[in-house]
Amino acid sequence: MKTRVLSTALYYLLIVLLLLSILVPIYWLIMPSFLPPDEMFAFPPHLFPRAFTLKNYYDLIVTYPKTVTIDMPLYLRNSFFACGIASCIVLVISVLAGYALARSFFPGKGTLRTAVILTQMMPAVLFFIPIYLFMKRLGLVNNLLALILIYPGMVAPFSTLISEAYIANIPQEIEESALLDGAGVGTILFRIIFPLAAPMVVAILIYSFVWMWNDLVIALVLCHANEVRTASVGLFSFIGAATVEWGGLLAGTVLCILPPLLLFAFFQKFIIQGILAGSLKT
Amino acid sequence: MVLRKRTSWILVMPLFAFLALTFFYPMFYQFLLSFEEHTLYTAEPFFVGLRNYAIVLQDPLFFVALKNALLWTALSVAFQIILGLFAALLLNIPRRGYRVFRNLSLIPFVLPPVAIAVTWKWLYNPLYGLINYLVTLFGGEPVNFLGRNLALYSVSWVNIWKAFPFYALFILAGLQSIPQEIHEAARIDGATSFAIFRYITLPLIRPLLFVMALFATVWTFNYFDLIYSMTQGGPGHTTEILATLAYKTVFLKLRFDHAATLGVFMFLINFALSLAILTISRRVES
Repeated sequence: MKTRVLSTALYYLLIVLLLLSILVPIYWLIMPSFLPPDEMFAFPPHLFPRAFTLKNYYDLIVTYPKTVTIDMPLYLRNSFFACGIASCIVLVISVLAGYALARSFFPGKGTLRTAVILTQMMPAVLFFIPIYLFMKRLGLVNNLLALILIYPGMVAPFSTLISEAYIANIPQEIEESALLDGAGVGTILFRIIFPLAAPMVVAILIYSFVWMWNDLVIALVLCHANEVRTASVGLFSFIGAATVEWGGLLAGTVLCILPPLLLFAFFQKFIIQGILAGSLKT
Repeated sequence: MVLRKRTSWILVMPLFAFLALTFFYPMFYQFLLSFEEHTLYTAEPFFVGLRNYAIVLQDPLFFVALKNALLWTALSVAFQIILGLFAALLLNIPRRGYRVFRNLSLIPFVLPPVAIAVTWKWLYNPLYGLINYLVTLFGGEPVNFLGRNLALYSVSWVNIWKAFPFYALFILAGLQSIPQEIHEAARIDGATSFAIFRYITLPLIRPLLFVMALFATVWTFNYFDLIYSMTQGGPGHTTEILATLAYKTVFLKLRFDHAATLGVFMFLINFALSLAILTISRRVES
């Protein structure tokens, strides 16, 4: 009996430690971003806030763009724009390819699948030099279009495999009867596949968007000028800027983590199910 | 079956075009670049044979970065999987706590690496960081976590922190697919918990662990974003890995050719590491 009580206590102690190890760093980012400087740098630090201010956020959004040319609202807009468009491209190309892979046998299909899996194994950073030189020749360095062209290829291998697996599970009878009624491939895709695969569509959009939002290296290489920085590059340029206070930096970081955090909070159940289902299949 | 050959190819073309732009063409061009002289100031790149390879191999920084990259990869992958396994075993005990963990486990993994870097620089801060407060609370001297001696270990820890809950989620799914009857039968036969883990659970999830180790190794070895936004390879190249060195070779030294050669080396090392893990896994499993 005694050992059982002890082991239960040990279990909860370890679980609490585990949860704290994830949560405390994030708490220690968000909470101080609402503190005035004297509270922020208090030593010993106060574990719970004793004051509250929005000044860090005001500085970040209103003051910094005018004084130190660090324009976080602009960087966030750039990110939303480039990652939004590129995610839609990912959705289209990976559903088209996934549909073809799931619904037909054609020569080279196996090779194509292997190529897709291999590219998934190759990290983006390996190829940033040739990509940079290529974009330079096209005159697209420091242009958000460069990111819109490069990002989809980086994300699409994974989402193609997901969409192939998902579409393969949709029964074919509906499509066959639509074909008999004279529907073309375009009609089938937009009237049947997209509506039936709505959860997959959302998962692919979120996955791509968050991947692109989080990327640093490609954006740093292709878009480093002030007007075209993405949120990650903008935040990175902050870290080095001597004129910026910790308050503004923490506030900027909170704004950068909000989109991925909110997307996952809303769609999490189903993303976790998707990941685990996919992993168990392989 | 529904689709004709030609239609299938048309549907696959857009994906193929984007992959060509980001992978196939750059791979080919990178290889070409490594045999040319090509800097910002070269008007016409020309063939130089293996000269870039000789120059890169004579640079002591290459070996510093290689050693750091291997250490950073080994530390990160080993502890991501060990801690992940530990957390998964703990959560596999059917008690409360599982759901909370499952809902939180993805958070560090989906945050931007730059944001994680800021968060941990703030936590590691020698003057007002939380961790140094805890150190002084227990009577220690404040530690300079991002100084020369500790920087590589400190950034590796951040990388471990970021990914181990994610791996735990996968391992947990693997553990839950093991039929409960096997464990019960072993327990009736008098096996201890450790013996059950060692001789039943571990062999059953080992293939999953190897796959995870393979992916984690390739990702970590080239993982530029986190390490560069935390330390930019410093102080004094103590956290320089090949990826950060290649970046600096382009944007500080303006040597596209040397950087491309570094890229070829990274590609080969990735290949060798993957092959090594696959070989070990095949040995162990047979």
